[in-house]
This record gives sequence, structure tokens and C-alpha cells, in this order.
Amino acid sequence: MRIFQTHIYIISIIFFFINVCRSEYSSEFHFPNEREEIIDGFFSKSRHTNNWAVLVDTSRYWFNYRHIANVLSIYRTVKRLGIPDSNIILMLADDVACNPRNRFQATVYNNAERKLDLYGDNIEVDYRGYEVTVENFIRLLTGRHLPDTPRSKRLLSDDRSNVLVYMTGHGGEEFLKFQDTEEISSYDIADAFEQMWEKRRYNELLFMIDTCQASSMFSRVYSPNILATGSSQTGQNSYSHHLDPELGVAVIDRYTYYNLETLEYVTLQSQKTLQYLFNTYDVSLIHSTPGVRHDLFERNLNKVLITDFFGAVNNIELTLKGYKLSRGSENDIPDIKQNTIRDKSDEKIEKINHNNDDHLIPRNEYKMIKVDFKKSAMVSPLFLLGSIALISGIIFISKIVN
Amino acid sequence: MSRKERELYEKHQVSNRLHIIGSIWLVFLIGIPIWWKTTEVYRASLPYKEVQKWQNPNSLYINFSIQLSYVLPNDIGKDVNIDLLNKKIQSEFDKNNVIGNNSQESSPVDDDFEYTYPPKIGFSFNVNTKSTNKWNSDIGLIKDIDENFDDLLTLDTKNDDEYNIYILKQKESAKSFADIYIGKNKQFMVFLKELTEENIIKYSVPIIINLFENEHTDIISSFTEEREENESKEEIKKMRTFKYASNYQILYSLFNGNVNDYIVNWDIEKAIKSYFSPFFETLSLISKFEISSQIQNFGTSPLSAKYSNTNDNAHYYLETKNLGHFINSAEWNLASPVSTAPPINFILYIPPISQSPLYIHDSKGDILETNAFLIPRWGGIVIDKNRNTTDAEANTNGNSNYYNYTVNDLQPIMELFLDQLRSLLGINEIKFLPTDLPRNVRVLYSTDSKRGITSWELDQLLRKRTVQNLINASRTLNSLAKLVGSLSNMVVLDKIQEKVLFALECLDNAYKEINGGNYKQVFLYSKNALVASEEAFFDPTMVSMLYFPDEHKYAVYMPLFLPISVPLALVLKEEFKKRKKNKKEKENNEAVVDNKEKKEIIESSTKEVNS
Repeated sequence: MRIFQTHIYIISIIFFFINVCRSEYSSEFHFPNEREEIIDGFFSKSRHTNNWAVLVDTSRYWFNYRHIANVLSIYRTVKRLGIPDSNIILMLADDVACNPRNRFQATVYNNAERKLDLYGDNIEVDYRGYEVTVENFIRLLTGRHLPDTPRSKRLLSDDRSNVLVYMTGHGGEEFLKFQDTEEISSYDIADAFEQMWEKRRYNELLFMIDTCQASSMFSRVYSPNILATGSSQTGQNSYSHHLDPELGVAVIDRYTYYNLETLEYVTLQSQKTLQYLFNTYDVSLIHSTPGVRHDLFERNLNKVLITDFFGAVNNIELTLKGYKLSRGSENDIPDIKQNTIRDKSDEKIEKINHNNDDHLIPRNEYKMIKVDFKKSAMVSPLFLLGSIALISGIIFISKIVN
Repeated sequence: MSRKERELYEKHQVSNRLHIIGSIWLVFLIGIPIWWKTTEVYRASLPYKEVQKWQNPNSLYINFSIQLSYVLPNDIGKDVNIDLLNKKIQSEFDKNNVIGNNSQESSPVDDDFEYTYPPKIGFSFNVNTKSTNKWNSDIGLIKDIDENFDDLLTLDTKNDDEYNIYILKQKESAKSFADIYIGKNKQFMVFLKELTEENIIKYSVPIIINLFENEHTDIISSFTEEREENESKEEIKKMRTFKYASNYQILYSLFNGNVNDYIVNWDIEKAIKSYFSPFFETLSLISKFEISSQIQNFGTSPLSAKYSNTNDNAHYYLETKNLGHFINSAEWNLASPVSTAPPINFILYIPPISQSPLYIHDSKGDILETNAFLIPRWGGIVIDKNRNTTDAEANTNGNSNYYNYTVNDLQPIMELFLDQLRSLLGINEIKFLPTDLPRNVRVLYSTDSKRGITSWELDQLLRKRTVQNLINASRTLNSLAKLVGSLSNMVVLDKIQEKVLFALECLDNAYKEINGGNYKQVFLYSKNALVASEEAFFDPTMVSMLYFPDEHKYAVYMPLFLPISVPLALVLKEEFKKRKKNKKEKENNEAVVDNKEKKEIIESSTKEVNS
């Protein structure tokens, strides 16, 4: 009897369950959004979604052939690994390929064997010749361009961008020369990076520099998620790798050369990490001690792929369904309520911009950028006072002398 | 020359020299302040205090007030004391009105504080209840419940910002206790078996609160900045969604793998007009879209497809893990140099005959039905799989190689593009986890096949973007204030000041309006605050002094001032020396004279004595 009773209990429980289940799944509605969202696809371990590269050669003239070759070699590498030209900003004096002293016109080689023409048929120099200035470089990093700057000259990175900044040229302790006319200091670079971080213009940044005393250039950097590496320690020189006797100039620097030895074997699918790259640095070959600064960088270098900075990211997500659309005839555009709110504020911003057109270029005493006739005609009262004082002084003196 | 004349001459000379030195010094001393003033960097003063105010996490408390309107059909409304019901519902909402008020009291403010700290967001609900005679409570039993049903139940209320909750009767045969249908026009329909007050409250209030709770976590999670490796859904969503911009450019591209196989054309303009224009129109309040299209031939993907001949379905396929390399970024011309607005790309890819039919295999190795994928913050790609099946059709055209995509052909592709675009722009479908719902409640969620976005989704997007813009604007202003404060010789023009003031004004207005429920207006304020603050921050004039250290200034002025100042200082020194000497001499002379006089007196006295 007892056993029978428990059986009944069990059976009734089972029945109850079946009932519940049936009621769960027997509704008359069709429920399209029931399933949990499944995201199928491939996502990189890094959190970035796009890659940018800023490649700068700060020197000019024929004898600095190797610096152009350095930059073009890195340019070739990042392009080979999938960063599109629209995401590469190349700053280059570009006076070597067609230099009269170049025996091999319209070419740039990074090796005396001259097998690979870096100049090739498809390079896009964004800042050329005298455009390679400290001002333009800072504008590029901070994003403060004059309004007519084309898209290709802008670094339009966002909070999900990994940015590679490669620089080469002649430098000294805490400065890097820009084309013999000006120089950028390590503080300027550090401040520019901080400006980028303030507006989240990068997710992670790799700063790579091949110059003398390279490590001093990133010693002042203080913004997070920046990884920096350079060809030499403070106090050390960096050296060129070898000379092309027919060109008569050195064709590549040692540090870049040995970086390329590794990078040439990296493919998009490669799992080689930056730690691996840094481990290949051999002081006896490079002739200087390469510096690596990773105290600001959060990820373990063993987990950072080389392609996180030198290649394009390849996140994708499969689309599982379309969004159902209906359509009547071609001219049947559904009636939409027009926005009743007129946005007057746009006009106000326009007005602010328009009103101040005269001041687009700051009144700057150090550089003569713009001669404003309206301004110069209006003598400021202070200046008037000063000149009156000066003239009266002269008259006074002359009277006394006579 | 007599001695007297010489003295006079010397005196004159001294005064002359003094005058000369004095006047040069005078010019110099007047000149310095004038020079200082005229070479000073122009700095308009910024309202630092007001900017700082927005950094205080407590000032960033955003409270959205939600207007809910319960609508009962007359046939049940007449049995119910509407005022009483309204009070009950309101009190029920008030009880649960805790969303976002998880009061973490302000912890110490560190430098990066403002970024890691999510804003405080809350929703408060205002309920009013009314009855209508436009329909009966059994309307759900007569009509099909689909998109058109939404249009059926529309009240002519002037108030656009209300959410209407309709109480309706459920079919007797339905197995669930209640069904909920979320319509496309801000409708929330509750189908009940028993129309009692308790049931009305029980099956609407918790679900509505849950709806907004989900929205709340969605907004909050878009602010957290995790740097650990994780592949959570939230992280992927954040990775996928574009940052807010007031303008986007959308480029629809048709890539033809091999022109020798097909010559293709598409009616893309008509297709966009008829499928997408309502969508863009609806979203134009949030962002504007510039749309362009192109056809590129010989656009073969660099990815080589694999061949599969299993189970009588011979096809080529691409694996998910390689799809990231599908884009031939070196040769496909996708970037537009025209505008700096963020580009969104959509690609329809026609594989060459040698590689078709071409399918995508998902991670399990099955054929993906849609044959489409999305690249986060980049765009979407659809691989055409129907090309082969339409050969016969093309033959009728007289030219076997020519194929034109008509507007109808493009419909499935446009549907995929729209789904991708929606997720790229951060439009979330309303979803409930089964655990969020009371037992035996079913929720159906309507889509809008005309506009491509329902009013609920639009409102959610509006609120999310509003919060993001407000926070971003206040952060940008703070960064700007920090920058201007730290670089003392940076030029700050009036324009910057005006923009900052304008941005602050917009922020103020947005916070004032936010309780009014007029999300569109609030959004516009937030958008303008963001635009103005970013324009101020990225103003080209803000860079001029960034790299001009003081040493450079000394180098510029040294050659000017050194040659003048050295002789001036020397002359002054000489003059003082002479004066001192003169004084001493005079004193000495006086002493000598005194002595002489004394002598004379003594002499005379002695004379007297002698005489």
C-alpha cells in the first residue's frame, strides 16, 4: 500500500512536470527573440578593431638614404600585413628616389643586393618634403588639423585602434631633429601621446624609434597602454648596417634591419609575439643596446602578437539573419513623421566658427603666418603710446645734445 | 679758461650725461611693459569652475522620467475604479523605482577617475490610467497579432512621448497565464485571461521594470573599460558598435570577382530609396548619413576558397577563422577621401565562376544560411550565393553574361545589410532572458518592416546616445581645461571660449530637460554639447604653442636684449661709481675747506695773539 502511494506521488509529479512543460511551449504566438543571442565569429584577443600606422622619416638629403629605406621597409611590412593605405600615414622627405645622385632612378633599396624595390609602384606618401615638420607631426597625433586637411592626412583612430608610431632620423639626448630646421623633444612626444589618450585616440600604442640615443625619446612618456622600443640606450649611438658601393651611401640602419629579419617571416596568421621580436635583438649585431619600455603597457608581452600592431585586425562576426523588410511599389516611401524639433544650435556653432574666421590663425609673435591688412591698419593704443614715448625721448635727447 | 668756467662746463656736462642716460632708461622702462603686453599670448578665460562641476559624479546623475499610460477598453474600464488602479500601479512602480540608484558614495577622486566611473542613471515612472472606447478588450482575439495590429491600436494623443500599455483579453485556449506583445509604436500590450487589478499589475509592472533595467545595464556597460581579455557578449557588442558621430558615410560596393564571368549592374539607388530611406529618415535625428555606391570589377578576394564535395552538395567554402582576411585592403578602393565622417562599408561580393557557389562555413562546419558576415566598426559583407541559379533568367536577356540586380533581387541582401547596420549603430533588440519573466508569460516583440527600427528601439538608442554624449562632452571639456591649464603659453581664442560656454549651456539645458521626457530635445542638447566641446578641443589653433619651450624664447630675445642691456647696465654702474666718487671728493673737499678755514681761524687767532 505504502509503495503504491509513493508511486502515485511520483507519477503525479511527472504529470505535473509534463503539464508545465506543455504549457511552456504551447503558446499560440510565434516568438522570434527567445533564443539567447549567439555570437559566432572570430575575435582577436586584443580589444582593438582597427590598426593605424604613423611612419615618420625626419631627415632629408641624399646622404640620409638609409632613413627613407628604413621607413619604406616598415611601410612595406605593415601594408603586406593588411593595413590599408588609408590607415597608414607616411611622412617622408621623399627626395631620394629621384635624386640626381641616385644611379637607379625612381627606386629605393634597403639592401645592397637591390632585389626589392621599396619605392615600387604603389606607395602613398601623405606628408612629403617640407611638410614633414614638428607642427604637422603634433597636429597629426593630436588631431588638431586645419579644416581643409584631407582625410588621408589625418589620424582618425578611436578608442579601439592600435597605433604604431615609427620614427627614424638623427637625434640626440631627448630630441629628434626634423629636417635640419627644427627638433622635437621627448616632452613634446609625451604630451602629444597624453593628448591622444585624453580623447581616447588609441587603444594601445607601439612607439618604435631608430635613432641615436633612442631610449631617451620615450623616457618622458607617461600615458597608459604605450609600449616603446628604440635602437639604443641613452648615451649610445645607433649605426647603419651596410653600404651599397654603387650608391655610395648606407642603405639601412642596423636596428631596423634586424627587426625586418623577424618581421619578414611574420604572416597574418602568425602567432609570434612582441616578446619574441624583442628577444631576437642581439647587441653584438645591432652594435647598440635596444631599449624596451613596457611599464605603461598592461598586457603581458608574451601575449601580444606582432600582428596586433604591424598587421590589420581580423575580427569578424557571422550574420545569422536579416531584418525583415517590406516594400510596396518603388515610389511608395512610407510616411514618416518629420522631426518637429528644429536644431537651431547647429546654426549657432556655425556662427561661432564664422564670426571668428579672422582669428583662425592665432596671433603668434614668433611666426609670420598671415599678414592681416585690416589688423595692421588698426594700430593698437599701446603700440601708439610706446612709439610716442620713443619719439619724445629722441627729441629730448637731441635737444640736450644740441 | 678760468677755473669757474671749467667748473660750469663740467657741471653742464654731468647734467647732460645724466639726461641722456636717464632718457634711454626711461624709454627702456616704458618699452618693457609695452613689449610684454604686446607679445603676450592671447588667452580667453575659460569657466574652469563650471567645467569642474560636471566632473563631480553626483552632478552626472541622469534621471529619465518615463510616462506610462495604461489604457483600458471601455468594456472593462467601466467596472474598474480607474483612479484607484492608477494609484496602485504608481505605488507599485515607486516601490521598485530603484534602478540606477545603487548609491555608491563618491570615492576618492583619482586622475583617471572620470573614465572608469560609470555615470549614474535612473528611470522614474509616471503612470496615468484612462479608458478608451475605440476598441473592445477582445480585439486581440479577432485580429492577427502582427505589425498591422500595432497600427490598429493607436490613440490620437498629442503626447508623443508616452508609452501606452493596453490591457486586452487573452484567448481562453491559450496555455500561458499572460502574453505580452511589445509593438512597434511604443505599445506594450498585455493579454490577460482574467482581467483583475492584481493581474494587471502583476503582469505589467515587473516586466516593464525589467525592460528598463536591461536598458540601464546596457548603458552602464558601455562605459566600463575592461582591459582583460574577455569575449563576453557585452565586450563584443562594444567592439562592434561605432562611436557616436553626427555624420556617417555609408558606401555600398558591388565587387565583381571576374568580369569575364559576368557583367553586373544593380539598381542600388532605387533599392536604397525604397528599403532604407525610412530607416535613415528616422535616424536622421541622431545622425546624418551620406550614402554612396560603387561597382568594382576584378575585385577578387585574396582569400582562396576550399572545395567541398561531401553529401552531393559540391561547393566552395570559406572558413570563419579566415574570413578576417577576406577584404583586399591593398587593392579594393574603399576609403573615401571626401569627408572625415566615419565610413561604414557594405559589400556585395560576386565570386568568380571558378569559385562558385561560394558559401561560408560557421565554426561548426555547417553552411551559413545567410552567407554574410560583419566586421566590427567597419561594415558588412554579403557573398552572393544565388548567382548560379539565375543563369537561365540571364539568358533571356540576350546576353548570357549580363546580369542586373533588380530592386526585388536586392531585397534579401538589403535585409542582411540592414541587420548589420543596426548592430553597427548599436540598436538593440528588446530581449528578455527567460529568468527575467514571471512563470508562464510569453513576450512577443514586433519588428518594423517599413522603418527598420521600432519606436522602443529608437527611444533606447536615443537615451543611450544621450547619456554617452553628455558624459563625453563633460569629459572633453575637462580634458580641455586640463590642457589649457597645464600649458601656460597656449593661445586660447575667443572662439574656444564661446564654444566651451555653448557646450556648458547645452549641458545645463540637457539636464534641465531630462526630466521632461522630451528625449529628442535632450538628445539634441547632448549632441550639441558634444559637437561644441570636441570642436573646441580639436581646434587647430590649440596646437600652436604645444611645442614651443621657454628656451626657444630666450634664444629669440637674447640677441635683441643683450646688446642693449649690457651697455645700459654698465653706464648706470659707472654713473653710480662716479657719483659716489664725486660725493667722496666733495666731502673730502669740504673737509679740506673746513680744515683750511680752521687753519685760517687758527691762523687769524694766532695773528690776533701775535698782534
